[in-house]
Amino acid sequence: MAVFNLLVNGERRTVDVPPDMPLLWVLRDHLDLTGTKYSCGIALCGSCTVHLDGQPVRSCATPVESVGDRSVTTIEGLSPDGDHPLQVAWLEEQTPQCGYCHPGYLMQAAALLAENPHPTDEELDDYFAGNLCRCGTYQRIRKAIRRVERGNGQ
Amino acid sequence: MNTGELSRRSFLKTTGLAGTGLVVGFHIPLLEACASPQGTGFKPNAWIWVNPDGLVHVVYDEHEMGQGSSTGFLKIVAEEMEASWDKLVWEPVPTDPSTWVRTISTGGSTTIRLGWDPIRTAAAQAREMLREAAASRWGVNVSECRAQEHFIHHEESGQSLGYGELAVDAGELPVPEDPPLKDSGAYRLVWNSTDRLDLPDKVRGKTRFGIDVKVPNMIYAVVARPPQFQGSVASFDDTAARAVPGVLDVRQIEVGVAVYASDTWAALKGREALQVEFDPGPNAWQSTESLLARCKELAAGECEVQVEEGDVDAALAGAARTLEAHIETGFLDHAPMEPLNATVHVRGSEVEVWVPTQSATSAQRAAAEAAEVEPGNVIIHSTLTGGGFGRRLTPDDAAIATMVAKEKDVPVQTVFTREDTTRHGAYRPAAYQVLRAGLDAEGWPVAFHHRVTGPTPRGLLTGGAESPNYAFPNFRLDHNLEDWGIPLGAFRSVANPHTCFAVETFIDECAHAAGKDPLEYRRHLMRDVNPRLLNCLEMACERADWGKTMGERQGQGLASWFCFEGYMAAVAEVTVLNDGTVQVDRVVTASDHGIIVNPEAVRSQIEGGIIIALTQAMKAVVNIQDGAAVESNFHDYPLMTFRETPLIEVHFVETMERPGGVGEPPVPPPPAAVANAIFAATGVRVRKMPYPRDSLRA
Repeated sequence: MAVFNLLVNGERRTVDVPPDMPLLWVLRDHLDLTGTKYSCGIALCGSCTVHLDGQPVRSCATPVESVGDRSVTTIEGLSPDGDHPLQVAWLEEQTPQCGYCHPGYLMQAAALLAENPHPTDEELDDYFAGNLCRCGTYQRIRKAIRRVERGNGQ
Repeated sequence: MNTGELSRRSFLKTTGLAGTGLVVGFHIPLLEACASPQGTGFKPNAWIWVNPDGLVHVVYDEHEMGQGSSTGFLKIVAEEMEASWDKLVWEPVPTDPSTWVRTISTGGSTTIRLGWDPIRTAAAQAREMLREAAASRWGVNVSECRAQEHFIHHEESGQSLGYGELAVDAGELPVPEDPPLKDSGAYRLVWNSTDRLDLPDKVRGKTRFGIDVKVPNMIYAVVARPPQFQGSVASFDDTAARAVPGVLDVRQIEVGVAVYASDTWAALKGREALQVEFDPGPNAWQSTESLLARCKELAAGECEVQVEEGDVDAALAGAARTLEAHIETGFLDHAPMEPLNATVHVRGSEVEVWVPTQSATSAQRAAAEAAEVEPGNVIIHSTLTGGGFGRRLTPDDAAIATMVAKEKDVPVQTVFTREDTTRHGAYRPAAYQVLRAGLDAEGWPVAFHHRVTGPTPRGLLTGGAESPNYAFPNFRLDHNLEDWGIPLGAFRSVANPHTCFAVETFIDECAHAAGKDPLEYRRHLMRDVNPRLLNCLEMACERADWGKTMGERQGQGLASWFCFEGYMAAVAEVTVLNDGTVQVDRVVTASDHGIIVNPEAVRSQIEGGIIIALTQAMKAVVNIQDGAAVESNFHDYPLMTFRETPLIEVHFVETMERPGGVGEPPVPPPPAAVANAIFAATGVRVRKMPYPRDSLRA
């Protein structure tokens, strides 16, 4: 076991866990941030996506010891009031069904748009190659992202 | 005692809510056949409760798993009651199914179609009672009192009273038996889209699914289970497992060895360190190949006739030509994104369960059996589910988690990993179907014989094939099924995806054999049998520009199907790449679901239904080797991806017919439509799911 002092959603959080514990389980079991989801456990589905210094990572395959000083952002910290343009667009397009994988999509999409506000369709395909949705909401995800690109409400 | 008193009593008894105000109970039948209107023996399983604060609580027992039916249900209440949409409150599924008047189970695309009449009637009763209460408060005739937007208005005096202000008075009145229902022309919510109630929390990461449940003093567990479905634990050594930091205990339970830990990761590490020898049990001979060979034997053996119309044998013997096709489809796992899990606290003879279930009744019974207590001693908290698709009708999660938890006096959350979830599914059964058709000199069918083989039970195998949508003068459906000991269950649309795939690709084959256009052929055979389905087919073909010129190795294909009271047609456009990869470019659907309460939610269901259908057509299958499932995670059980998603265009038949099913009907047609498009593109007839890519290379 080892003590880690993490910066999560702008707050300092201290946990005493094995160094190889994936960030996913630190967030879920130790910090009660359950918006980050477990689904495959081996970085195949993207449901556990969080940001480290703004970069999307699969928290299920990120040992807590590798986080270091980087700032962790989860879906709970994506925006203060749940009003990130993507969250607004997600609702406008009525995007989720069961909703389980969507925190992962939102985190992945937020990182993309921060870096590349006008991705091509091909870039979107590449960017979301590692995210899976069993309900099949893909077409709405694409529309929601395009809606943000255009400025919401248009 | 009038139904109002009965309703209030049972409401208080089974919901535990304080019932001041107006309570109207109603009964939603589980199946069409069980419809029992109010009156003698009135047993409500749903209530509208108007609280004096003006909020309208709706209590019922259907589960929300992302299909959006909770929003639809409440919309019907608001529509008929003339209530304000923002005053509706959606209550959780009741926690003691043993006192409930029906099995609590959400499946079969039933919530809206079976709820439609009872919900409207109850909401109309509430509205009429509120009008009566206002009329008597003002001393005017009720006919002068108009309900609108959560108020009763009296035009002449200009007075208005809110529903909350009238709730207590209205609750004292008798429940009118036959309230007038709103004219469909006056609908303001139905057939218009309303934002779903479950979505704001979902995009904020706030929704607590089953796996997100936290209760005080909770510990975590995973279970090492034999890979074989009928296997068992022979021996185990837990020395290394117990040495893992965070591991609290290791115990053998009925179905395997449970590792208990202070968090999920420690439990997983403990299981990894555990040494277990398994006895494979009696079915280690089973493999995908041996089961297919067994099916072929069954198909050649004596079959049980399920439907026989006319004389198929004579018609086949007299036919100008006959066609035969053998259709193979494999086992499928639902693969909900939220893996199976349940949190259970066994306190002596009392058990409390938190589980993302589609059937609180099944979960309660399963937990009760595992804990050896009466079902009434088990409290079931039905959480939202990260995908259901039928998987969560089978209560193995609640059963196993209870076996795990009864060893402990603290609550235990048992997590099934993705691998556990995939390898111990409640699979859609594999099937091997033989279809034979006899055609007359002009190519029209004179006989159609549909044979289904595979595992029992019959309902999971032959469903949807009983009553063809085509005029077949002679028709037989028969089957030869046996128990294989492989865990099976209902998967979205149940048997229809494989029976539809067989029939809709074979009828296409018949059309081509007859030298006729597939739409024209179906039109001729369908118009007297299922005109509503034909209407969808015509609409889909029109919107897709059926018959347009396609490029090289490109094609259009169509299919249609009727199930769960939903009519669905699909036209697919594909490009078959030289390496045999099928690229689905576009899917156009037209469907008739009767009245659509929430069009955007229904559209979403259809888009998703197409994706889940294409996954089974092109990507994922569960193979069996040595009596166990081979696939384990998304690398070998791949789902359709963002990139592979075709352009989807959804069209509805606008109608005021009563609501039909929505969740299941979109799944059957797409795999057949795509297979027919592949034939148009390549001349290769696909008779297997997932499609065999090798046969499609240029």
